[in-house]
Amino acid sequence: MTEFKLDLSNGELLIGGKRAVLHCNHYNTFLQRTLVDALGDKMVEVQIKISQKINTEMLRNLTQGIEDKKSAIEKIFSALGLGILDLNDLENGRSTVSNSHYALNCYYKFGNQKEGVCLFATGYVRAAAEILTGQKKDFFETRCISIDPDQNEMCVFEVRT
Amino acid sequence: MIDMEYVTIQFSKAEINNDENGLIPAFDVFLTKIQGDYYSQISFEFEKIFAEGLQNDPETLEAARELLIEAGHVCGFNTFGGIMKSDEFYSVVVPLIQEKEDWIRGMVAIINVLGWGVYKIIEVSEEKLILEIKNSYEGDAYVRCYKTHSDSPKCYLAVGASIALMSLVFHADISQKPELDDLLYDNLFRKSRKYTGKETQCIAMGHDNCRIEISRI
Ligand SMILES: [Zn+2]
Ligand SMILES: [Zn+2]
Repeated sequence: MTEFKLDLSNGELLIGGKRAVLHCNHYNTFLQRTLVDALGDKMVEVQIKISQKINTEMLRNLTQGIEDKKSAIEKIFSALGLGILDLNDLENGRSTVSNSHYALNCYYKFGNQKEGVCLFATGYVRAAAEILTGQKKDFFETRCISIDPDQNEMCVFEVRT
Repeated sequence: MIDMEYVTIQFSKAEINNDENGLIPAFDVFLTKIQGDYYSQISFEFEKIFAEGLQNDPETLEAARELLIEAGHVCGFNTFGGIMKSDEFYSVVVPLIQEKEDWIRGMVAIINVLGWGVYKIIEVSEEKLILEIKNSYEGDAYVRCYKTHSDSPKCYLAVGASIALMSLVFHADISQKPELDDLLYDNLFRKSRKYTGKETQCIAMGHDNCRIEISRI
């Protein structure tokens, strides 16, 4: 189910009918930072929303007909290389990510961050909530490894009320 | 000349999967397999918002695009640099290399397993690189997302990464396995920059393929 299919004749790496592309931590971190540095919070919102949209579509395709959708969605997150997602507390408006790709790389490259940097993960958690609960929920990252790895063992996403 | 198809097939067999931490360490970087539409849409939205704020002033638009192309330098520098220094590259590609241009051919053959589209070299020398890309993920995303053609090329990552590839091979001499640090990055893309490039055709504009031309400054 988390199988990627490489179609060499079209240069496509497919998952759930969507095109995935390989990129590295340096690019991911730099691109995100460039967009936010140039335009501020507006781009934070844009990145979360686009992640939510594209992940909802992909996860819907991938979890169709699957009984344990929750663990499938967690596994896909790791298969994308983003860390370990735990959705066990999702019903209570909370989820966590350990070893967040974006958080660790932002921290190593730029030091302690002021705010959470896991924008893609935030959108992914929102997509997971939409699929698993049938409702759109505005999750935000309330703790991030990148802010202080000694204080925050993992990134935490919660519904802001 | 390197058999590029052979290299592509060899690298397509590589198992690039996540470890127990949910991360994908490979070629001295951490990889992700995020949808191309994510990168493309955040880039296009950025370009749009950036320009709107300044009444679509052409110079402003150019500045936004330059930032996206620079992200491509960062990508190519680290990912291609890491790949061309890797044991995998040394076992599959390096034994086939006869001339400097073969480093470019070998790396382009590997780009074709990254999901970025199908890259084909039209011309390569120390002076110039011309690439034709079929199904470039950025241009493809543009047409699918906006359901229209653009009036300018959209493959910013492809341009930035291609400039990085020429810079790594002909400027940094990647065959000597230089340290891929900030100092080298600064030299290649700022202080003593040698290469520039542009996209002259793009599927986002309605062309059949994208075409990228990198040349010496
Ligand atoms: Zn985080
Ligand atoms: Zn293009």
